Amino acid sequence: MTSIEIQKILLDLNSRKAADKRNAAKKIGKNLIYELVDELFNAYNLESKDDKNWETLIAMIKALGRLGCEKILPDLEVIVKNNKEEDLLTTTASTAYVRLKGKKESYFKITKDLFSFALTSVAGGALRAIYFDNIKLEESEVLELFEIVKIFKHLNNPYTVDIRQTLICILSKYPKDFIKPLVEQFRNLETVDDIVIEYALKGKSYYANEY
Amino acid sequence: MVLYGYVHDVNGWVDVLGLAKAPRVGSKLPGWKGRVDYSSIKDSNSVDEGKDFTSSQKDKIYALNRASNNGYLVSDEDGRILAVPKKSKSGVKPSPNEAQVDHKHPKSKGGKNSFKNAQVLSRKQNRKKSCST
Repeated sequence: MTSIEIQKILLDLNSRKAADKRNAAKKIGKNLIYELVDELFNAYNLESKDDKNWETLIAMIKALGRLGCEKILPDLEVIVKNNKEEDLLTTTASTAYVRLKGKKESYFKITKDLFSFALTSVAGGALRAIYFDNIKLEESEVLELFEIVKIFKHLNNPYTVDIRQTLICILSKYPKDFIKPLVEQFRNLETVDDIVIEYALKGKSYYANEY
Repeated sequence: MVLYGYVHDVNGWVDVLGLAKAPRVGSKLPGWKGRVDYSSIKDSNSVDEGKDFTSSQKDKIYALNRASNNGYLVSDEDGRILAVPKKSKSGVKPSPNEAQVDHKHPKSKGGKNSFKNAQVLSRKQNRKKSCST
């Protein structure tokens, strides 16, 4: 990315329009522009005072998580501990939290700790971090995670993403013989598409691997 | 006998002889059969939580809405006939009866952009609903 393009992103980040700020945050995260981390963090601090701009905040948290900005960790910890049910900001914060903490600890341990109190958004966000970052867990860890997700209190809301579906996507990276008895237990559930299971058994991930 | 009168929209088609009985935008569709279920349309793998409906998804939703309502674009909330959505222009106030595709379960609460989670509302109804379910 050229310096002119970076300057344009910086201008957008400091714009008064929410759409410009959101697009700038997305570009910083997608293109991993490390030189704008501090500016993005400052913009996040200003933006977080107004919770009406949840879409902009989500774009900023995603980008800061991906760029490894540890200064945002205390804020993320607060959001995760608030543990709101069915809340996209909480899901995004949880993903970024696992990513940032995952630099020093194992993703599995952090996820397991979160599951001790998590409702759907925190749980879903933690699993998304494992999936998006292509984390290869030990088979024993996968089995343990499977049991945790299996007994989790699911909401069975057909309009949101069921965390079992995210787990199936994680499992798609393991051998068919190993995952078949696991994923088959999620077949015929109203909130889990059977096509996701079929993809996993073929070693493919149904969902696009976004960040 | 009065041979003149005010028309609702001077730029639109004027039914001089008063023969047409077609319902107008904003009025209720006579014989409305209730909300349309869009879950019969197959989702792609780009469906995820917090995502907007794509223009291709919106086209399919509007087409099914029209097919279920005698060719009219109708609100799934109350059966009102809606205006075809237009690309927004700076300085032009959009019609409150303009059709919009809404997430039944709000995006901010993790609602997916799946056809199951779609409904057609007027701009006014969508603003009023905001992020409530």
